[in-house]
This record gives sequence, structure tokens and C-alpha cells, in this order.
Amino acid sequence: MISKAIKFVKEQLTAEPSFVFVGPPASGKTVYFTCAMDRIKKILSQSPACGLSLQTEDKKTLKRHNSSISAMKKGGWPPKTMAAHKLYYLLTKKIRVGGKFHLADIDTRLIYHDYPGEVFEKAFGDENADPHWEKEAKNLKTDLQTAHGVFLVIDTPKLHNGEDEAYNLQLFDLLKFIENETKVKRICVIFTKRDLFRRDPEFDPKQHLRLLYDDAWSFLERSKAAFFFVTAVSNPGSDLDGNLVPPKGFETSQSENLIEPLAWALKLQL
Amino acid sequence: MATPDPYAPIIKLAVLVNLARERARQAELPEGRQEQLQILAHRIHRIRSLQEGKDTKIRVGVFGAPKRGKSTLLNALLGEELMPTAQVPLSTTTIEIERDTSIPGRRVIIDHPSGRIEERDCKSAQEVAKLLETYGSRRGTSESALRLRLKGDFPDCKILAEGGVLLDTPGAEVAFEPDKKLAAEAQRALDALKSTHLVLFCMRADQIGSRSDSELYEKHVRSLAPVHVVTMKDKYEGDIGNLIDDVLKNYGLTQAEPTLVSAHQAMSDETLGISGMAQFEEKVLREIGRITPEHGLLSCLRNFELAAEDFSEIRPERIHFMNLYGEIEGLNNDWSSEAIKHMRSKPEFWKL
Repeated sequence: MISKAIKFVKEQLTAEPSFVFVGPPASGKTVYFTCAMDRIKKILSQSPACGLSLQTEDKKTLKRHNSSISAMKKGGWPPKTMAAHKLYYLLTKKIRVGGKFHLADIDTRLIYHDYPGEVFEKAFGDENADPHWEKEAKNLKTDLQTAHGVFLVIDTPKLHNGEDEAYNLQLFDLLKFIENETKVKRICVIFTKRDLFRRDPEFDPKQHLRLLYDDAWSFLERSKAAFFFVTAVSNPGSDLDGNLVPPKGFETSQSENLIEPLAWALKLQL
Repeated sequence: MATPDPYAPIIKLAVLVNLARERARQAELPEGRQEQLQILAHRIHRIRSLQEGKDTKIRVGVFGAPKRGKSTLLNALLGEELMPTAQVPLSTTTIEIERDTSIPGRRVIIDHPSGRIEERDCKSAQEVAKLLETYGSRRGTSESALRLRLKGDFPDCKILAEGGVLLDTPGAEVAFEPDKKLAAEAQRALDALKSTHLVLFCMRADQIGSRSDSELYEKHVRSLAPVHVVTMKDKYEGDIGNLIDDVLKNYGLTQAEPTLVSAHQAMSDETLGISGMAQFEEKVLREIGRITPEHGLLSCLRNFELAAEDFSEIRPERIHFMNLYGEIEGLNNDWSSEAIKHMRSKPEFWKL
């Protein structure tokens, strides 16, 4: 009876939810995602009582994750994303009886699609964008059609700068596509680079988005999107050439609001 | 309350300029405009390298192809014939000259290739010149030192009195590299270039536009915003106006005017007044002043305006301008007030 119940629960939980990260070039998708996953992994490993753990599933994902984190610890950035990547993680839940006896593990396979920003531009709004990204743009749309959730990464300095007509079109096209042609259940809007706004603590990117891009805003409201204003890399320094770089001794524990978006999308209580 | 960091605005400006450079590359702006941004980035780099005492003194390097009168120029600045000079290219090792009032006379410090460091106190200029020639020139009988330092009071040299360090570098022959030895010396000069805050680029009045000057200048010096020094002006027989035109034309200078000097004339009291050395020294001191965050910031702000005006597409997002403004405002002193006033006079450019 118990084994049948476990099998049933396993089937329910191994639905392989997939998430797609979209946003223009240099909006901070890879940096955010890498830092957030690193932080969640560490938090779960330090709280065994919760019965959850998160690990990379395949060698390729592990290699990519480690090389990105290691680049940031050395004061650099992960290499620019030049091709689409599927990243596989396993979220494991320990099933215990009476909170004590370990009966089984239930694995949920999480699939993340990290696309270069240029692919987003090609797929939505800008048909004249570089034809090099044509195939990937089609793949992005296919991934979105089957995705459980979408992380829309918005470069906050660009948003703060004022209305951008091209971006308006891209956002509108993306959200129309999500509404009409996909089964996306959760949309999570991530405003990145919060650190640059320390001098203006009142600044609210959500209000800015509402004022500048009202069509996109209406859709996001209808779909009950969640909004997060995050800093993946806190207190970045600037090298002698003026490049913003992660500070010495960078740790993802220094970041702000980092895990909330992923926890919301995965319905994790952390 | 923490003391405001005088370097904070220049750090924010470095970020702005770097973002603008990247956009200028993407937008394929005219090369001249991109070069202006590169020169500005280098000036900011020089100011920042003095930050937090990473470099405590401003290093002023004399550079040029072989036989451009670099050592002679330094002798004129020091008021003594301390650097070895001769008819054939001589210097093989960079010589650093620094003021140290605790030393009676002159002290030469020799870093031998074996790792041994030797200190020799000298009683006369001839003794100094002999030592430097022995360990830092082709005429020397010993193996060249890795590094030579000359310390002393040097009361007549204003640049050293202002806390500068003067560097005499080997002639950098990058155009022909006729033998391996010269190429190695050129490399030593180029290595010294990297650690220099202010570059004095020497060219001879009677050899303007020579291939060795042009190649060295284009490949390694132009982007470092050097002070252009035309040496041996007494050897030029034509009209001085034509000489200046030649320099401007050959080196594509638009904003900088070359300084004309004659170290030979400076060595005699009768011709010192017409040697151009006083004007040259003043110019170098002015440039040293601009390397500090206080004096450098305003000049860098103006240079950024010059480079980025008419090209709104390369100006970064407003938040970067706001952060720069905020850092300057936070300093609340005379020079920051001047910078604020300047930015407010052009609110559209500075996105205020």
C-alpha cells in the first residue's frame, strides 16, 4: 500500500517542470540564475531538516555552474551566453514516515533554458535582427510553448532610462505569445542590478514598468505575475579600465532578494 | 560618519567612459572619436592607479626612439650631467630618479641580474654618470643591471620636488628591430611605459615624422595621452611655425601642442632663457596636477563631453550619470562644487 502511494506521489512530482529565462542581451540572466541556484543549493544543504536538496543533474550543467561561480569569485563574469543551454537540476525530497524513517527519495527534474539575449530580440519584436539567431529563435518559442514558467529578466538601468520603443514591441510580442500560444502557469519578472540604485531607495521598477509599458503591464497583472528587484552581485567594484566586476571574496550570500523569485516559481518554502 | 573618498567620482566616471567606449565600438563611431574616449580612459586609469597608495608617487617617463635626446633632456631638468649621453644609442636599463632629502649627495642603487642589490654613494656627478654608464649602457663593462635607481636631494628639479619620479628609458626601436639586443631594450622601455603615469614623448626637431618615431607613437604611445616634446630645437634651421605644423600633421594632433626645447641651450646661462625648458617644466607640472582626483576630475568631465557630444547613442543609462553626480555632490568641497556647477550647466548632456 505504502509503495503504491509513493509511486503515485513520484508520478505527480516527476513532471519535469521547465522554465525559460528571457530578456535582452546583458540584462543579467546568466549571472542571476547562476547565483540564485548556488544560493539555493547552499541553503538546502545547510538545512537537512527540511528534507530537500538541490543538485545539478548532469556533468555539463555542473561544469557550467562551477565555471560561472568560479569566474565570479575571481573577479570576472561568466562568459557571455552565445548559444542556448539546457540546464538540468534535481530537486530531491526525502519521504519520511513520522518524520523519522527515510522511505524514499522523490526527484523533481528542473529544466532551465538559458538563451542569449539576441535570440529573444530575434524571436520577438525585431524581425530584422541578425538572421544567425533564426533557428534558436524558433527553439525558444517551442520551449516557451511547453514551459511551466517564464522568468522575464529586465535590465533595471535600461528601464530607468526611459521608454524604449523597440523594447516595448519585444515585450508586447513576448507576452502576447505567452498568453495565446503557451501553457505557462507562472511568470516571474526579475528586475536586476538593484545595487546601482542604492542612492535612490524609493525607486520602484514596478511603477516604472507600469508607466512606460502599459500594455505589457496589463498582461502581467492579468496573469498574476510576481515581481522581484534583485542584486545578484552586491557591491561590484570597478577595475582600472572601468569594468564593473564582482568584489573580492564574492559570495552569493551577499546578494539581495536572490532566491525569492526561484522559490516562488518552484513553490519552495525556504 | 565615513570620510568621503575623493576617488569615488573618478571610479564612477571610469564606469561611464567604459560603457561609452563599448557603445562607440558597437556603433562604429569614427575612429578619432573612439580614440578620444580611449585617451580619456587612460587618463582616468592613471588617476586611479594612485588610489589608496598603490602608487605613492607620480612616475614621469621619458620615452622615444633611440637618439632622441632623452637622457640629455633629463640632465637639463636635473641641472647636472648625471645621465650618460653619447653619439651612439646607449641606455639599456630604465633609470629611476627620485628625491630623497635624507641622502647627502647622490646614491645609485643597482639591482643586479643575480638578485643582489647594491647601494653606492657618489660624491660627484661624474661618479654617478660613470656608474650609470657601467651598469645601464652599451658602453658599460659590466652586465646591465635589471633596474637602476638614483636618489638624492636634487633641489633644482621642480618635478622631483613635487613628488614625481623621473624615468630615463632605453630608446625604443620598434620599427626596424635590427638585432635582438635592441628589441630587448625596446621591450624594457615598453614595460616601463606600463607603469608610467605621465609619458613625455621625445622627437627630434630635425627628424620629425621619421618611421621609428611614427611606429612607436602609433603602436604604443598615442593612446597614453603623452606630452609631446620636440628636442634639439636649436638644430632646426627653418621657421619654427613650420616645425610645429610638421609635428601636428605627422602625429595627427588636434588638441595638444608640442613643446619645443633645447637641452643644449639650457646648459648655458646665456641661452637658458630661449631654451624652452622653463615652459616645458611648467607644462609637466601642470600635467602632474591633472593626475590627482581633485584637478583631474573636471578636466576628465570636459573631455568626456567633447568625446560624447553629438553621439547620444553612446551615452550610458541615466543611473550611471546619477551615481556619478551623487558621488561628486557627496564630497562637498571646493573642487567638487566646481564639478557640480559644470555638470549643472549642461543638464541634458549629464542626464540631470
